[in-house]
Amino acid sequence: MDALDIRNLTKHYPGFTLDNLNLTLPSGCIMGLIGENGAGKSTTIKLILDMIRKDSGSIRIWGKDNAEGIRDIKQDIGVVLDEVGLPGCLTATQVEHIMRHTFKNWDAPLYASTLKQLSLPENKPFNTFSRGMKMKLGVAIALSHHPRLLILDEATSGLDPVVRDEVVEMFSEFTRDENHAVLMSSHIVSDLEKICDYIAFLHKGKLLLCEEKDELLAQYALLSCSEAQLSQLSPAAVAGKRVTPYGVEALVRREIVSTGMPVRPVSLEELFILMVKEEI
Amino acid sequence: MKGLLLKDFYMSMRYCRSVLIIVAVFFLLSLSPDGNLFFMLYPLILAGAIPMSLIAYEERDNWTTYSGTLPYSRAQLVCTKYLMGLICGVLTCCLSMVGIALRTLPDGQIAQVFAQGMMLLALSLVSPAVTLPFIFKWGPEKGRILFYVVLVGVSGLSGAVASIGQIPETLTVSLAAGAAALGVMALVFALSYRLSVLFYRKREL
Repeated sequence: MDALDIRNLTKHYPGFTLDNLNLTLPSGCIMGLIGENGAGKSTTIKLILDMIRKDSGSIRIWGKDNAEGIRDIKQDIGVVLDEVGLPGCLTATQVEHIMRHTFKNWDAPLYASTLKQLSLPENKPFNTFSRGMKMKLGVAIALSHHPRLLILDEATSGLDPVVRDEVVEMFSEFTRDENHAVLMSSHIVSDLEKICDYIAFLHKGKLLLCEEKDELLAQYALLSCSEAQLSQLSPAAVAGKRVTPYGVEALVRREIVSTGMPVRPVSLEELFILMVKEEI
Repeated sequence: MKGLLLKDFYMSMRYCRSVLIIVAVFFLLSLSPDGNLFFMLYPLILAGAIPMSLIAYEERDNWTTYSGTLPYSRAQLVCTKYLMGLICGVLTCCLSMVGIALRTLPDGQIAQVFAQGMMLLALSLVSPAVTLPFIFKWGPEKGRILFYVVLVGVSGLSGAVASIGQIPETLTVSLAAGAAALGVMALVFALSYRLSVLFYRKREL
């Protein structure tokens, strides 16, 4: 069963429209949601959690429509938002008391061990935490009620590289169980590249693509050449380009360009930038 | 919902300590020979504002958004604040009743203590009943303005009473009047709750 199935999702705001979004996140997988600021990542996540109202379309989580029984569905979802919204006066111990009465499957020993693993103090108020510590506490809460789906909105931002690696590993570990899935938005594309199975590119409220990461990276390549050389290529072969004083860097479809062309592998970050930005 | 109430309890203990101190001080002042109705009413108004203060702190800390990710319905999130208003009102009212009893018994009647207690409880629910729907519709900033309007209204009323004569030392109400006031206020409180749920369901978090 798919963990998440979004069909024709539309949400309109003045000056922004999330337009006809279609996404499927299979069970056992991690999907990375990439997009510039204001692309619609947080709007998508809020729509999934029924925090805002959709204009049209459907969202199914583990086969259940999120418009019906979202409370029960949320028992199985762990969420970390870009701002962990805990009241500043609460300590990690008090948070445990609250969450124990919030989640049916709350696992106090797991929470305690995660706090220890992430070196979080138990009795310091949340407002004395650094941003990184706040995010870590958010992650600890999200993982401690045995969710089946993790939804992470910029959950690794603010973490130092060592802790980020540790947290990313925790997410990866989470999907070893094939009944689990993760939807993760991040500006740190390297994190997504490291652990994601699927990648969805959002740009100005539209889904540019949603594909398996490995297939995506195999499909595209970077070609460094002159403008004259580029003009000889079929327009269908070029998905994006960047013109610099030293030449052109083009994102090309491997299957269309001839084998003799000097192409090199593309990273997700380059892929996304070149797709959304025709020229810099 | 127990988790939400626990959270509000922790927050009240941390952020509303000054209210608790004022309530205690006013309780003691109401026992003094110079004590009057003001010393009983003011703590009730302050206690009634605790749910509003909690919502303001929650907005500041982004809890409002975070709570949308937790397995609580909008009605439960609203209900917690009404329960907090009720709990604060009942506790403050109980304290006031103890004060009334200490001042009036054994000469007075126990029925009068209960009658006044019911009237005070009804008064304590005015502030949350009036302000919470506005807060759930437009947020705590605009709700705060409305609270001050209520506060000025009550103060103005006290001033008007004082200009006629001295502020009475205590309320004199019949048991029936107290029960009627509480009944009407319970109805208003319930309607206010329904309205808040309606507003909050439409609000985007």
